[in-house]
Amino acid sequence: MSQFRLEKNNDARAVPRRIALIRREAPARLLEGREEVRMAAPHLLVREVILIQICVVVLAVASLLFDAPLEGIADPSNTPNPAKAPWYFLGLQELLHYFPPIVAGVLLPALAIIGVVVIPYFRINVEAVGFYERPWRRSLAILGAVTAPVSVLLVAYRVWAVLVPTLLIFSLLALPAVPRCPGAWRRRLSRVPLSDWIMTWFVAVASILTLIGIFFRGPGWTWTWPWRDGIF
Amino acid sequence: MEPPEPSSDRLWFWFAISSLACLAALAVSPVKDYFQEYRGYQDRFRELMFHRAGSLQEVRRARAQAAGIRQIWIPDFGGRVDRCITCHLGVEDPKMADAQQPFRLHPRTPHTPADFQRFGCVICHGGQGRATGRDEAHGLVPDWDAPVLPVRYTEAACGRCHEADAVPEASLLSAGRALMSRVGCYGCHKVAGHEDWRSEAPDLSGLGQKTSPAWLRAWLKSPRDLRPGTWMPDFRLTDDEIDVLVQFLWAQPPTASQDLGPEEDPPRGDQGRGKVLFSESRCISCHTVEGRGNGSAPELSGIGSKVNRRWLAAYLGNPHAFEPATRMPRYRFSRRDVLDLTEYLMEEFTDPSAPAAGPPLRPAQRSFQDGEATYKKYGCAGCHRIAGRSDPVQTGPDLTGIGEKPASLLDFGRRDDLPRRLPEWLAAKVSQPRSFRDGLKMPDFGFTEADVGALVTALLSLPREEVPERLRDPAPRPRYAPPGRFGVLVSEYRCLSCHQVGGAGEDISTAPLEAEGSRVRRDWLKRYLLLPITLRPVLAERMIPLRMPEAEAAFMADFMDNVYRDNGIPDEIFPAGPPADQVERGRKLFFERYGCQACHMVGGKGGYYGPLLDGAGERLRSGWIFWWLRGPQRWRADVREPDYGLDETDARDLAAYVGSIPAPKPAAGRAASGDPSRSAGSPRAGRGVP
Amino acid sequence: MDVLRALTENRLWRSVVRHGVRGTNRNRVMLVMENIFLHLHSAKVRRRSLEISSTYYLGGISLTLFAILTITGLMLMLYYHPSVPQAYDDMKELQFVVSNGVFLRNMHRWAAHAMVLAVFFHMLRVFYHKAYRPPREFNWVVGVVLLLLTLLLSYTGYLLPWDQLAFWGVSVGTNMVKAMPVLGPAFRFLLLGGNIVGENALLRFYVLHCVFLPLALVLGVAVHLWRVRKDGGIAGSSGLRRADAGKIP
Repeated sequence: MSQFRLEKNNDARAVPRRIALIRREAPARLLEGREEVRMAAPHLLVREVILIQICVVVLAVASLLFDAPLEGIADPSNTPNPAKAPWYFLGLQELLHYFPPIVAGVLLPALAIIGVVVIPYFRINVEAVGFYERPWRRSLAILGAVTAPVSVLLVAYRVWAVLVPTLLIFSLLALPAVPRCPGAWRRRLSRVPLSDWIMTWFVAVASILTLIGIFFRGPGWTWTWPWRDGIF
Repeated sequence: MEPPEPSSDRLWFWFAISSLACLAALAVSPVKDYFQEYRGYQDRFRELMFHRAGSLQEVRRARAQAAGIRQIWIPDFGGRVDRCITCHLGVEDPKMADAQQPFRLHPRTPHTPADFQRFGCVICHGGQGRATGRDEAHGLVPDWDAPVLPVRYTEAACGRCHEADAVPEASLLSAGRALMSRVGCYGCHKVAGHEDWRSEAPDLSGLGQKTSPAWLRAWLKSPRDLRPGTWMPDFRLTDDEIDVLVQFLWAQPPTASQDLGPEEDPPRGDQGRGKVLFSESRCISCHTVEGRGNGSAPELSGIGSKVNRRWLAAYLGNPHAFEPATRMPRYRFSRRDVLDLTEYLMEEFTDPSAPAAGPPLRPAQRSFQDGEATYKKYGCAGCHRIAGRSDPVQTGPDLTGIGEKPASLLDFGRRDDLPRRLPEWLAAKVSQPRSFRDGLKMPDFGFTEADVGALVTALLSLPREEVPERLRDPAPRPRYAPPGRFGVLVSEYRCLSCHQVGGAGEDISTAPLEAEGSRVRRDWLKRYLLLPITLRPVLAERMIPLRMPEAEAAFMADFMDNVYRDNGIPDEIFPAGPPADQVERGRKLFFERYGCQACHMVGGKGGYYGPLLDGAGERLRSGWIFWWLRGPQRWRADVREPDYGLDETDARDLAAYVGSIPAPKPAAGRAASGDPSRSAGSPRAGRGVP
Repeated sequence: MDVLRALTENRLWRSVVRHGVRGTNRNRVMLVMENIFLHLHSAKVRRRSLEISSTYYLGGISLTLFAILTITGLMLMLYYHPSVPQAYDDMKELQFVVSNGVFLRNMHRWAAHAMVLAVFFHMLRVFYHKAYRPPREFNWVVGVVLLLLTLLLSYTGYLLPWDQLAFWGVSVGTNMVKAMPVLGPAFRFLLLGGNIVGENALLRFYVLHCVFLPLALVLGVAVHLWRVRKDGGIAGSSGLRRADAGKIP
């Protein structure tokens, strides 16, 4: 920084060019200074109106075709089997099936929320450099060292629904490290930053658990096939 | 000014398209809303009204009929709303008596058309009252638990409010409830209101001195094969279960009162005299012999092959010592009477197919315990008692609310042939109780199809949701017990096994006793208690000669004469005897105007449907005859004698005549020793007062 | 055109809308700047941010669904009593008697499910586009809070029909809360207004669903949109690319 002299002056003639100090991870606004622009009206506004109307049409058609479910009146003495939470909590309910409530009901959701909240405050997420575009051997070793005991734990609790995506995603992550990996795969995979790997893993696990909870769980939370026994 | 972009026009085009699509999509629902299902029905009904209109006024009414939802609102039954009449538009219109559904007139019932607005429709018929579509209203949608009740079970609805066992004008329901009580449903199942049910099954203490192991084994194997028509159900026990159960039952000691007397075979009696005694004592007023008889007590054919001679003799001497809860009265038989009757029963009523008495049973401790477990497993104690034991009763599921149980909660098991509905499930359950799964315990009662229909009706009448207090017609809970020495005698002679007093007692006799003192004369009553005469030849069930000592008869007659009086019934209207002119006028009325001889017998002539009137003046108080003639149904609602609406003069004259009919001596003597076997086969005709 | 002019060139019109209707750039700018509802937009937007692939319009979809939910929800409130068993009866009344009642309820229900999905996908889009980078960190946090509020809104609404689905769904959900150490049972008690899912719970969920949570969501959305505008408009996929990182002048 020493070769620059910083001068504060609002006189445009005295200081013809203003400079800005930009951190590496700052947004790209300045880059786009020369970018093409459009008037918000009508280009944005009309698009927005169309969007709203499409939403209304899709919902209206869905509402005409499918009726919202309504079962018999609430009866505390008659427990349906299985009793299911709303679909967006079925991933959690599925977790409860594997782990003690304190872990599945409190610890894991709390960790997930905290994990999501703090994302933008970590330099590694902000820089988002591809995993293999920086020194990666140590990181891969650490990752492997974390994945292995987690997998053992998952096997111990018989949580195949989490184990499978975990192993799958880890092997994809580790694929470029394998010497015989095809070049095209290597090029693409090596650019994916670690944060994306973790998020993808999280989304995969959450969706798989939720889908299992919605479609594959029958009376007594036992496994069913929706095409054989119907959806419970 | 910015030049228009090439994409701008396309944007506006899509804007137009999406706007139109949006409008169209939002317009569908209001249109659908307008053309609802019920509109079509209402249009058809309006046409029907035009078609059938008989006057200009009716045409105008049809024209004024506006389309819209109609409903009956019942605020004090959980705010129920019944919209059935939105489509069932003709339920109150007499012109629609022969119209096609849904427009037909509702048939007349005790509650229609009077109570339409009070009750609505769903309270009786089920279904979803709020709905305005056909399937939804009839409850044929998965989210509705109570679909419309099939018409043949409609009487079940009567039972939701009318909690008594007998519900007038609901014969199927009444039959079903009587059957439930008779076959002992309440022994295994809890049903609200029947907690005080009392089983009539025999006491099993001292079974070893009553019958033989071979007979018991055959009985447990298949009770109905041994005695058709028995109430004992078939538990489909395995041979092993029967063996251990016999071991267990055999080991139950007799109670102190079940004493067979000195350890020797009783002397043989006179079979011929026993036969006369059997007839005279009118055993078939309660028992049946080869199916003939009243049927409120067990079938007697085959009894000789079942019981031990010593036991029978002791039992006939004092039934209450052996079966404290039996309905059977204690006849005051002499020792000789007992021996003769025993001889007759043991020799005459044998069953050649009954198993011969095998070798004596060898007790085994292990089998005893297994037998005890079996006894508990099948809940035998629900109906039978063994002195000194308190085994679990009501081991079956609670039946409270079974009548409105959602079909989704029923276990259909392997009965894939049944539709998923409650009435069908109940019918299958009572007729083939174990067909659903293995390991079920409910026995097979061998119900006929009619029984099943009645039972399903009775079961469907057990509500889940309590009906409001305003609508309930609770079962009378008679707590009357005759007092003092009279009460002791009533119990001894089991009067209440046939008669009713204060709502307590059985219904075999048609005469409640509350006002007996106002009805009959004391001296006649005493004579009748000592030696009952036949008053009503048409009936098989008659007053039984109990052979009571004269002092007891006098006491009972006095008691009834003084206590069982109704102040509303005049005592004597002719203190000095009926005046001759009134008697004469009464005779004319009797024979010419009203033709009473069609049913009543006088001097050996006339019909035998009503009671004999010979000697009526000795029997009945003139005030009572008068009171009776002014309205027989005041005595009991189902009396068959017509109410002729007699005015006071006619009633007085008739009473004078009836009170003066003489009693022919020889006829009375024959009637007293009447031959029951002759009338045993006659059908049990209508009810009346003897 | 004459009709249009007559309609727009009078005192009444001008008192409401201050700019002309002709498609001049001035009028277009005025339209956006002078309108309270539109002034969240800047007068000009980058062309690339209009592309579908830069945002998939997921934020807009979420907001639209919220608007639909608000409108249908307000209409449903006209027919609803949060009491037992009236709540369930009201569902039946909606189905059988209220004009378009089924349609309204269906719209509300499906929009609610769709909104949960849309908000979740919106979050994923922002994540994979790395649009949470400074100075947008805080807006990401606001977004996460909005996702949670959306879930809570949907969940509190789930109980209101008072059918078996609602009752047991909420029972199962609130039993999960109980597993929380120390605070769990107390929090559940607070949420349900008792120890069971009963009339109190229904009333509480109703008030949360119709007042507290929508207010919180509206506030959150206001902050969220304001920050989007202040942080330089939407950050589409055109955000800083690794390859461009070194080219900052």
